Amino acid sequence: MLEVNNVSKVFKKGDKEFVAVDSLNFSVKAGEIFGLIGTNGAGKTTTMRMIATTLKPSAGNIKVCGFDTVKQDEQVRNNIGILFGGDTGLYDRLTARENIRYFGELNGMDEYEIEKQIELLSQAFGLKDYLDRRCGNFSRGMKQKTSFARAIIHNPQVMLFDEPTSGLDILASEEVLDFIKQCKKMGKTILLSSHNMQEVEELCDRALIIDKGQTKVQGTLPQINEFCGCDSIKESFIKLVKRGEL
Amino acid sequence: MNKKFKQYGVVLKKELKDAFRDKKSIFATFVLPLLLFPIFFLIISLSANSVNEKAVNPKLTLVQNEISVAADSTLREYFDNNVFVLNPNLKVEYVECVDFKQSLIDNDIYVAIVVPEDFLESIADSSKTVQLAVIYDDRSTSGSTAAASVSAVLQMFSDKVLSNRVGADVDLTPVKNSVLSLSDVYPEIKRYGTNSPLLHLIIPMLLTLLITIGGASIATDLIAGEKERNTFESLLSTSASRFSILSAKYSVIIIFSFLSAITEVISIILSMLLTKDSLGEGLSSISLPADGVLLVVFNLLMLAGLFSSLLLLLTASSKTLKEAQSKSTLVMFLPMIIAYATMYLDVADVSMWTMCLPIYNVVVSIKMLLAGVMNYAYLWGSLAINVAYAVGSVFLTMKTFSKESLITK
Repeated sequence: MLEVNNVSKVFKKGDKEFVAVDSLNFSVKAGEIFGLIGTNGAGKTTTMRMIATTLKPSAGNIKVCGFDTVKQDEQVRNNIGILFGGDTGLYDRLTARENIRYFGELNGMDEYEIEKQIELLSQAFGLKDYLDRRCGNFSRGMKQKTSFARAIIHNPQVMLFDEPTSGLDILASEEVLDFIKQCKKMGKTILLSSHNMQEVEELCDRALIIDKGQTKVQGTLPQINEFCGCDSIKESFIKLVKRGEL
Repeated sequence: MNKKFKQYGVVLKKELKDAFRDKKSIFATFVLPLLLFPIFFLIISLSANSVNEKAVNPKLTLVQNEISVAADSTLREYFDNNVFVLNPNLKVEYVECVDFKQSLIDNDIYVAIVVPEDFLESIADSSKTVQLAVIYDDRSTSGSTAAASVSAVLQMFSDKVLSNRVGADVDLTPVKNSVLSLSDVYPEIKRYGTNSPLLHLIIPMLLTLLITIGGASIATDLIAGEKERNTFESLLSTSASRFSILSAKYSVIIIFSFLSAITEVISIILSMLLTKDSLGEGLSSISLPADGVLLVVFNLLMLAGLFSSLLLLLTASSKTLKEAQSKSTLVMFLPMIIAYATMYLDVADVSMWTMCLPIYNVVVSIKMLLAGVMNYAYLWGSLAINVAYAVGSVFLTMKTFSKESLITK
């Protein structure tokens, strides 16, 4: 479903070059949650952006549902749903329904499909009571739920979560994790970028530890721990990244 | 193409809905100008009425040999019964002054009429010429206005004396030389064609200014605002093409610029109608050629296109709303300077090469239209050049919008 083949990304500023991602390889199957683990600036968001077609790889290629992110960018975008962490981006002067509808329309859905999906999603996320209220006055949790609905209104096969719990309190984080689990049950292909080891252990089937754009290790979580000789992903991560061992 | 047009429509509809729900933008774009101009014109009107009142009730003195002789009842009676009686609206107040020039400067009196010592005898003698002079302080609006009223009534008196002398069977040749003449101490008062001077000065300036910066408050929010609210990346990750997103946002700025300019014009016309006694006389005399109006509208549209893409470029290259606002404030200076600097521009003095100057050529086009001086070569030339500028700026904006730095900055 998602294939990242030998992908590199180099940013140029004048004569200087900065390698953000270096020869990255991984793939994610349907119904699988794949973790992209790294510190800030490790290259996680750049990788996400290349998959989402907002950045082009300097080398290698990425395929989403068989579509190339450079040559078939529109089809790729039609098959992905993205949820960014931190402050969830919603249009404050639009209602929850209008926010969700806007993204449905942009993704080429017709009126009937949109209404049907809004009905389904509002039931699933408990949005009914505030569906027609403007988002500016929503609590963080309400905003997060609206963002979920917006991200999957077009029923995408591949879901990208870029540090989805960043800045959220425990309860809101819990809702995000439940939502990701629901997506897995629905057979979605999920790429989760995070530096929270606890949620990686709770959610991910496989993971890749990335540091300074380079792959340190990838595999199932037990495989990573075995490779590092540690008991947890947190210890493995510290051993690989902080101490630079192995 | 159809899909892209549909996406364009979706983004345009959303952006307009969002913008019209933004109370601050609506207030700045529509409500403020609607309120500002009636208040502005009302204040001007009150001030103008006060000046008019001084013109019909002038405080004046009569001067002989550099000395105020307003106390001279014979002279006063002569002026009241023979001169000021010719304009019943004029209610003159005589003021005796120690130093009439100082009184003029201090605005204690508005006008001094310099009367020859032998005035009463000379005026009765049809063979003699009488010289009267009107002195006023030309720095004082009250003085200038009162001088105009007093000189007008003195001119009526002069005409009456002439007709009386002709009617008295005096030989015409000496009569011509003996006509009471007025001194040219005060300058001729300039009149603007048939239209209101306010329209000539204000409309080109405001239209140009608002077409260029009227959409600025909306423009800054369109991309920098989205970046700040974390909605921009989500938007770019939908199926919608960047071209559709950009062109819709571009259209919103042009729509707001035009709506802002139209609101201003409506506001000015309403204000002038409200204050028609003193300011609105030019409205009834406007007559504009249809082809000229169209050319000016297209020139304005192209200017809006140029500045809308410029504002989009700035907001796209900004990370935050504040940064975009700072940048657009800098850009606003250019149209502001040109619009204000050309307020008193005389279209008769404009060189053809100036059609290459954006903003300036639009100001000139509007002024030509209002003055009725239609130089079609200039208007068409300006349009061609403004189209080139607009297309070039849109191309540049599209190039910027497809760059990766749009996301990474």
